[in-house]
Amino acid sequence: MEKVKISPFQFFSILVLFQFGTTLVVNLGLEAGRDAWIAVLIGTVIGMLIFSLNAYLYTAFPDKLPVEYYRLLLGKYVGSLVGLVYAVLYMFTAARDLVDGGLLVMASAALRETPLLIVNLLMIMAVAYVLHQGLEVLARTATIFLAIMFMIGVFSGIVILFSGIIDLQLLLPVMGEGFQPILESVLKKNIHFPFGELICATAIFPAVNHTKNGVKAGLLAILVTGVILAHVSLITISVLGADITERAVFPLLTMMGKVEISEFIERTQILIVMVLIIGVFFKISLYYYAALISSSILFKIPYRKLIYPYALVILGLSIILARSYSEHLMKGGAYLYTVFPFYSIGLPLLLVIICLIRKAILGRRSGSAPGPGSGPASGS
Amino acid sequence: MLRYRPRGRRFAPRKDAPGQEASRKIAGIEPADHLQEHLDRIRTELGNSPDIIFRQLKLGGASEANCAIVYLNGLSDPEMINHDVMESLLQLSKEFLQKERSPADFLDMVMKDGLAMGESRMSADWNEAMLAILSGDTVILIEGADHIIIAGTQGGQWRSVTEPTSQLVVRGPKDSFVESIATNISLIRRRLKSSQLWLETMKIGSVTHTHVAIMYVKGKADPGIVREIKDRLNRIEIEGILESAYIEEFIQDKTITPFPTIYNTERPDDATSKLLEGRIVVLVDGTPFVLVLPTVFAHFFQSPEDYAQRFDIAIVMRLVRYISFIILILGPSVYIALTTFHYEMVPTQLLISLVAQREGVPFPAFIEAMLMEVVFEILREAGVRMPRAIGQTVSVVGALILGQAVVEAGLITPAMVIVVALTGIASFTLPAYNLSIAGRLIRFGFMVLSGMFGFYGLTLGVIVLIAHMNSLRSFGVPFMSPISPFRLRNQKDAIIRLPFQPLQTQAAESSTGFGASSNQDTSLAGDSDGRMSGSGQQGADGGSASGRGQHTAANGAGGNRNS
Repeated sequence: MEKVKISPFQFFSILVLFQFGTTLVVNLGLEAGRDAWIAVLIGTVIGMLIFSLNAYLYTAFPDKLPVEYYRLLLGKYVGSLVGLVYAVLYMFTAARDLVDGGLLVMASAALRETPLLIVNLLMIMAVAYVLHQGLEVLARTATIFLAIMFMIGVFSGIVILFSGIIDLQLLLPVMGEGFQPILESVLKKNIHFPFGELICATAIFPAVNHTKNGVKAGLLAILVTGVILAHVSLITISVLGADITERAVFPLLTMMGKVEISEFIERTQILIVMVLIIGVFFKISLYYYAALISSSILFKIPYRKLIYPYALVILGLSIILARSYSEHLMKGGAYLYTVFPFYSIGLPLLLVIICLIRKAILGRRSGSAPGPGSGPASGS
Repeated sequence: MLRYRPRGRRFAPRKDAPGQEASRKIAGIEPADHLQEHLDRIRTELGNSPDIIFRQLKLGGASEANCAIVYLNGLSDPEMINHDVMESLLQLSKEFLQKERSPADFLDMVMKDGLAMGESRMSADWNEAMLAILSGDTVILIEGADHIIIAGTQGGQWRSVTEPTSQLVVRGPKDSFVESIATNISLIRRRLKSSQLWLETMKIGSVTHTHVAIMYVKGKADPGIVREIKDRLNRIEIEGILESAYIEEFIQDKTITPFPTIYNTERPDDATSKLLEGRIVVLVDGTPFVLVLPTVFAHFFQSPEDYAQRFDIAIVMRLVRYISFIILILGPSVYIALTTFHYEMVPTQLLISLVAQREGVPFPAFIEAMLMEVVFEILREAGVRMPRAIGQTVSVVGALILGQAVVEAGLITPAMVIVVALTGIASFTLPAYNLSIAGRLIRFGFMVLSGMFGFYGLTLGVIVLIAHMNSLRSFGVPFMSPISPFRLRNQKDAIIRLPFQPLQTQAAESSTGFGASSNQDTSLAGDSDGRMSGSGQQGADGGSASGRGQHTAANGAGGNRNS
């Protein structure tokens, strides 16, 4: 593995853009109706807890990739198998996000006549090119696009505010149907999407040049994203009302379509489409990179050699995966809320427990014979 | 008059002198009984060129010629040869010379007593002698001696210092570099009077033997980068260097990119301010364009004018340049995307008029834009290359026939002409010509992308473009720094320009080291002021030392501040 180092701020940028991904545009916390924003906030807190699991493993093995500590904790063969499963999972998810992005873009960016294959091909080529330049370039590009996203966000906020379409009455009553729908939404959706997906951030953890600040940056990224997402869904609902928000394919786009200032600034949806494309790009990039780097450790092949074969695989998968948007969403729901949690929450939890047991055993051993090898990191 | 002579340490491996005969192998000058043998050898090796002047002299009343001078007519300064070389040689006192002396002694005496020349040296190297003749120096040969004297008589005609032609300012110094490397060095030294300003030279080009000099401020420039530059310069293998661009191409980090990763300037004040930032300047003989490295993207948007105007004005001017660059790259492609894919984004009134314009036009927007952009490029290229006398024709043809008639004939929409004209003008706001060429090239790629995919292609293109720019490095320094990787401390002179007060503190804070070289500090900081007065105290009184310090500080601030 090449020795690239990224700063906590760059790590933060990647994570924020990754989480924005498709989340900003599609419905979030749908089940909770007008209280979606509460569901998102609760999801954020739980997401931070899940992230802490991975962060714990990271601080225990600051310079090791997941595959390496899987082998350490689970034994060589089981560890490699788990690593392989994750690599396949990441690749699969990258393909899914590619379809996601492609379909969203086709529906929203007036590319109705362009075949999905071509749209996806363009995207995967862009991702492959950037990954070919390395993780550092990806991270630094992320900081610039974070700034661009920020500017778009501020601009959209101002425009929405000035066009006077916000009606806070639409948010009331808060929790009119009790806590039940919110809880349902949180458990079914908000934890996993997007926060549970941060499991693939473990692949870039070892590249962060400051362990402690890296973890802080990660947690902060979740918090910031969560607050922004909640804020966005709050505004969307207060503009469109819970009813339309639930029924719209892209509530954010519909909402931006309502913006109009003196017949000049109107229909600023294109900004949202750009946000969507940027977010999808970074989401695919991170999954793709996680798949690449895990495989490169597993098969001992430099990851740059894997980029283009993997691009083909992901592109092929994306074509097989979905033929229509609704079919894709349906499958996606099933996948994201049944299969994925096991890998994003279950396995890390198991690993943390193993790690704790291991630490206890090692601690007892080193207790009888004090030496430098007391911590789990140096005990490896 | 300024003359150039290689000074300081030599780091160049000695290259072969011109003329690749077998006799080249003989490196030293062997004592010949007859002076004539040497002269014949020179004559043969230079192919009996008529512009080589051989002049034999009888020194100290010898019965036959015991001394000869050789120089190249046209490259040397005839007045100096006549006055300072010949006259002083012939005036050597007779009794002094009549004593019996060995040739070596004789040579030594000529060197020490007989030459009224500041710039002269002895050499035993045949190649060096030949190169000296070809550079315009005068070679003095003495009968029987195994050394020669090389007297610096370089002269000849050079263009005098004039106003810069490619980097103009309203307010600021009006001189520019010229083709003579000696003049160029003097232009920088005149602005930066510090013992810390170091100069090293070498010759590159197996045939042209072009003088190449690197200058840097010792203690500010990163020694690692200095070493790397020398390394890369030494590795150059080429027959001839005619422009600094030749060197640029050899020493840049990555060749597959439209972006220039080495900045060039023809303004001495610009070069000096970059030296003060700790950058390294490479001067090449025969061209007014000097290279500045390592370079970051922000350099291409900085004009010396920025420091000659109030900072708030400068910020606006700089923002205008950044916006122009974005328009240059994205202008036509955004128009194509809007009119082909995203009608709904255009305000209704505007859309109606656009659609009305497009009514009779037979081409899709993409073809239209391509046509107009290509026409514009042709016009621009013609405007640059054509003889001055027919300049009128091109503007008439360009403006009237291609601009007006094309619209009237219904081939192109007026809106497209506006867009193309806007991008054309935007490309001229950049102070750096080579970046605007890069922008113009990239523009075509974006037009294709947006013609095929609308804003989707455009956004992905921007992502790839920014990633590509992030992957560039100039001598190890990230091209996009300090924007990415983001360094708040170095933002003071990147996209915006703060007043000089914070700029100075920034320079004082900056440490030496690899990262420091990417700093944007433009002024000489307190620490180097201290160094200067320290060196001044050795010879001069304190007053003059502090005077020098002030002077340099003023230069560092773009020649606008005299604190």
